[in-house]
Amino acid sequence: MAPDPTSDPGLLILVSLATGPKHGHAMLIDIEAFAGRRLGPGTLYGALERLEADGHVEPMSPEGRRRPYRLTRRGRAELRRRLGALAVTVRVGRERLAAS
Amino acid sequence: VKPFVRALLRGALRAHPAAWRDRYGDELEALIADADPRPSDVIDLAASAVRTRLASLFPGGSPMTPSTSPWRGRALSMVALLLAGWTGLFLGLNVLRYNVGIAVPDFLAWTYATESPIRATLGVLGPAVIGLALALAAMAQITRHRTDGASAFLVRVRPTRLAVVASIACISVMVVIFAYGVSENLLESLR
Repeated sequence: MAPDPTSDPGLLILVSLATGPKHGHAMLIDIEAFAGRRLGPGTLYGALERLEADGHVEPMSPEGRRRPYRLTRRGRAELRRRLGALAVTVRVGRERLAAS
Repeated sequence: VKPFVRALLRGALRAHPAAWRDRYGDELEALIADADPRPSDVIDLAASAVRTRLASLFPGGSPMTPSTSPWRGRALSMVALLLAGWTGLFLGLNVLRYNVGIAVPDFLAWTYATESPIRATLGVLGPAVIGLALALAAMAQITRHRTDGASAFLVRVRPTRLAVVASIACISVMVVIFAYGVSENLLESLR
């Protein structure tokens, strides 16, 4: 079974940052709006740490205590790759449902 | 309720490794202040604390926030905290079984049993000795870091100090249970 995309916090963060830099709270609000899932603070920062280590996102200068993050070029490519894989799963799933 | 949840969240944040807090602590403090806190966030952040502490034990486990404290101290802290967690779980299960009357499998609640002094002794004394050894080792770590100066002491020893508290709590619980078991057995033998 294909994984539920909303169960992957890293993917949700990449999608959220695709529209521009955001800090933690803004990401939580955005993700809840488009995915209907509220990430916990530990899950959010755990995923951010992995994405930063992989070079998919990068921190910007802090605005007070809030630090925005933005997608890197590598992160944008990773997002395209993951969305492409999901699109294939969705297309094949729909074709099989229609045929059954 | 929200101020209480925020206080718990700040506590869970402080349970993260110092290096992790240095990197993400301010951002998370801001997030805790901005967001509408939920009780489930406390569990999420506490799980993150355990995860990051475990990750910090392994080289490359926490790539953005490598720990600066000695490997042995961190491992010691983690083992002590796990031991304390086990003690809490063990005690909780026994309270459920013997004081609340909820069925708990025998293999999870056997050291509290009073029918066999040998089982009670082995089940309680073993973890207590391990806890004592951990506490002594953790205290040795503190003594070593204390020579670094007051500020270094506060920054670097926090996880190990936590280990000391956890170990002492663990030992105390075990001693109470042990004393209870022994007294029950003595009473049984006198009847």
